[in-house]
Amino acid sequence: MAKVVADWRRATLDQQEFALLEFAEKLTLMPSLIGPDDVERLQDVGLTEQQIFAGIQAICYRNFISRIADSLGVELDDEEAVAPEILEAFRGRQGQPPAAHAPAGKQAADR
Amino acid sequence: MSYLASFPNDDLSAVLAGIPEVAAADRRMVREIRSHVPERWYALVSVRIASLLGLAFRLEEVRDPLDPELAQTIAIDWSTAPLGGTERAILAFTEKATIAQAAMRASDVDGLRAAGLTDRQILAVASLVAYQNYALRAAQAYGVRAR
Repeated sequence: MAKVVADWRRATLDQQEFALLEFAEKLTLMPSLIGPDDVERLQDVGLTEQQIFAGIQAICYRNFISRIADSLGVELDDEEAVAPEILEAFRGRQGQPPAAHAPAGKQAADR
Repeated sequence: MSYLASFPNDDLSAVLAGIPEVAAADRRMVREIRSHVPERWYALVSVRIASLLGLAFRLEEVRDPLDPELAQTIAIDWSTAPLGGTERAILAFTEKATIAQAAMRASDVDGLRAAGLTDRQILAVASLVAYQNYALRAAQAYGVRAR
């Protein structure tokens, strides 16, 4: 999991996981570029429409809840339950410059 | 029509209705937010977020009750819009929480408080900003109208 946080493109992922993270990154950082081709790509790797619906909800929900937490200064509910290497990966990403149209890396990897 | 044939509707509410629990949670969230912020604040925040996300073509879907000219100004450069201090504070908060959320600090909430918002209104505004970051992305991903 720490590899996914630090650099998901180098993590060991299956085809569906890779496609879903690619979609998550684009929808989070460049939502205006999302179109039917992106959804078809998820279908091409075997995700059902129910799974795509749920995946979109999960991505958008994280964009919702992480903003509530960051805006109001809310910490992780149970930070001690998170493995140290994952916390370290989060901290490492927070120092990166923000991408165009997007918040810093913390969001992409948020919780 | 939605990109998903199993959810063949053309607006977000209708698509979410495909999963009743999701639709119920969404309706409750919108109802709670709308009960704590004026319609004008709701529209100002929604228009600004649509613009920040590169979704300015969705302004017509979210601008009501703002007139088109004001909505355009908010989308392009809200600093030149005829707004009061409270609305400016809300839009400054909206902008930072949308494009630089990791840099949010207590001083950002203090800015809303200094503009006269109560803690409950601050919670509602933060929820609205977060909600539109959810809903506009969801509408784009499903290929449907926002609201």
